[in-house]
Amino acid sequence: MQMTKTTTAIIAAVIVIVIVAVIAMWAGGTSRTQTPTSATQAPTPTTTSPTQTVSTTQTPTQTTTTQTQTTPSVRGVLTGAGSTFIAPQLQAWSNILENATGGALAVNYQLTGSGAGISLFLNKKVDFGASDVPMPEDLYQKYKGQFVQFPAIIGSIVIAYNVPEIAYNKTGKYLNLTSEIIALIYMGNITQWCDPRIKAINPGLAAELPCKPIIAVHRSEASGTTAGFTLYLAKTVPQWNETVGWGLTVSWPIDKLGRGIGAQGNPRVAAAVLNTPYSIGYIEYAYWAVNKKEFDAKGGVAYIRNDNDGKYYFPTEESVAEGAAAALQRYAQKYGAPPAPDADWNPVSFELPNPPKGYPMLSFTYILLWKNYTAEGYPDAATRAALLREFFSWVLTEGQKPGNIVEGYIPLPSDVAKIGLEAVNSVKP
Amino acid sequence: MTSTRKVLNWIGMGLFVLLGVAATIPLFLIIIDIYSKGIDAINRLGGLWHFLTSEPPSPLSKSGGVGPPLIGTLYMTALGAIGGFALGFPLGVYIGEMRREKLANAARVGVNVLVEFPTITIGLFVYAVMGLVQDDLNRYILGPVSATLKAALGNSVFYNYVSWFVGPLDSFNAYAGAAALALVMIPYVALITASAYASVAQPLREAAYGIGGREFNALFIVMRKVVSRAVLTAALIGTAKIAGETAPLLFTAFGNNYYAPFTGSTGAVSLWIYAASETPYNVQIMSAYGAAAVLLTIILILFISARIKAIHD
Repeated sequence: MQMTKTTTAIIAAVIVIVIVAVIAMWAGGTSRTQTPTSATQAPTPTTTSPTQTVSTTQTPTQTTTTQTQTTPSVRGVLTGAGSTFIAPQLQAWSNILENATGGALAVNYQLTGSGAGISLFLNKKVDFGASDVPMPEDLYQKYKGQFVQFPAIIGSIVIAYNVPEIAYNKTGKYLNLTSEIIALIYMGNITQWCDPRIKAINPGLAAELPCKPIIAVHRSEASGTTAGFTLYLAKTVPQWNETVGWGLTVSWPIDKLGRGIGAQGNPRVAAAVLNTPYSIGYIEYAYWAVNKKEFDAKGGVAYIRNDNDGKYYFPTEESVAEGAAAALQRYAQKYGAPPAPDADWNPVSFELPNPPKGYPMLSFTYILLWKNYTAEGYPDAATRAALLREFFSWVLTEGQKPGNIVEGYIPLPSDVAKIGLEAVNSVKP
Repeated sequence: MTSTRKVLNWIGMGLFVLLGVAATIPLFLIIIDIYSKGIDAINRLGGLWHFLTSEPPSPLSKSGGVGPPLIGTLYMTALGAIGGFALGFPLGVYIGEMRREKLANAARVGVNVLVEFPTITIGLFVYAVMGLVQDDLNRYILGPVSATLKAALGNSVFYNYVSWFVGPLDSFNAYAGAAALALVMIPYVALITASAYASVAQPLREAAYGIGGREFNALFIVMRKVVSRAVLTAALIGTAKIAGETAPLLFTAFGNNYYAPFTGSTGAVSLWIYAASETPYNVQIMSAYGAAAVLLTIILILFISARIKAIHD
């Protein structure tokens, strides 16, 4: 008997759903012709897209009279996607702003990778995109004038190593490295940790450096981190530029020698370095910063020589910010003006590594916004644009202050943030 | 002679027992690992109720939970299970009971292929279909429907509730996710239903048809007694399977860390586990373990109730 009831219930549920759907469709079809005037926000004949947005809920009643600011009387959750690197920081910004606005504004950010972020943005699947590389040149030409891009945060790449004999906890020293030595390691020319070229720039550690083969860890998938790392080597080491080049993925010479390890994503590269004695790897600053103790126990993170001023820089907030400022100065000198928000940012991205001074391996993470959300066919464009403007204006001002920055991220210099604000202000509903 | 046989028998049995133990060890290791780490994480992130209702933590948070993803998982799994059963069960009856028909054969082959499909391709398929129908669906059906609803409900509180479920769809939404999950579930239910109907004893089938009633009564009332257990188990196991799916949701529900309308990006516990485990921040990794414990609990409840039902009958 029990089964009869269950089956009947299921069949009844299905029938009810079908009937409701049919009635809803019928009501929807007739409502257009019968009661267009009774609805306060019924679709007007001029708008082709539905008026009520999907991811945002409009509050029909506005009771707050104390609001003097021009903050939009809308609530909603925006959706963005792209760079995995910026994700923790964007989530933190969103949570802080959500608490500050009493839940009126939040940004749902999903990690898809920079490439997917750009494509989801261009296909209008998400409200904004985030990418570790600027819009590629061919796509920039195609969509020129329709969108803006601006940096939201600075990232830097560190070289982490696992060599128990010279671990920071044991020796109190970190290794010195130059672009040339890093390139030669990844090309397979420097094979052992006790190589005289490494010893020469590390006099304090020369006696401890073991004669063990170097294992080089790299990313296995298309990655903005790989692009930043290989661009730095391509700009500083001619031999690397000729044989390997740079890009989201490259063909690693060390793999052919059997001493390379490919790992997917920053977390797995960090884990591979920690678990493989005598290995070296490049990871985003944040992934080292939060695991600093573990790296110090097994090895450490390298001082990198800036080839322009010859000084060795440790990856810190100050040295990275110094590098970013110097790189932008060089850009302004070269091109006559600082970059404009709707310009092609590829040249900027290209100027960033190997700056005149400061830590040399750095990159921006860019935010992509449409200039006109109505023209791009977004439903309820006014709400979306207002929310986006509010969010990113906050990100570029308050969001860059120390308490709102997650460990491992470097805030923008104020003149760079200004470019972003200009971009945000050019976004029209 | 007999003693050698006995020894060989013991050795043989011993090996089989060992194999059986070896097969269950990973299962228990996974359950123990997830619960020991997950329960600890839930306590440290603010307790069970807080964990089940609050938003996922950002790296700066001290506490957090899986509220929005959990609601998304429950909503999409429920819709997906209803859809999967509503289509899978009749399909199973068709290919199991009317197997002499030509189309039934084609359907069986199709379902057998579908069950082996990588679930991510099902997600991609729904994503592509969504891209094709989204504009028209919004313009001709959902736009007018939500406008009518808005007019009918006006400024009442209900409108805000209804707008969570009905309205023009974004590219990513809970309904696309539920559709993908339903597609994943259909072949499971269909195949188990089909084999259950095929296993009905021939005399019983003849008796059922021989009463002189309609075919509907023979199929769904007389024979149901025989197949009900298998079909219900299929429904529960199928639901348990789709509750934990990640791949079909990547392109359809997309994920959301906030409470937001189901017509836009919707979170799922499995998606949050994936996203959180990629970060270097301990608070997020802890929340992933807590989320895994919650998801495992949902699946174990479904699975155990399926077993209890089977034993009880």
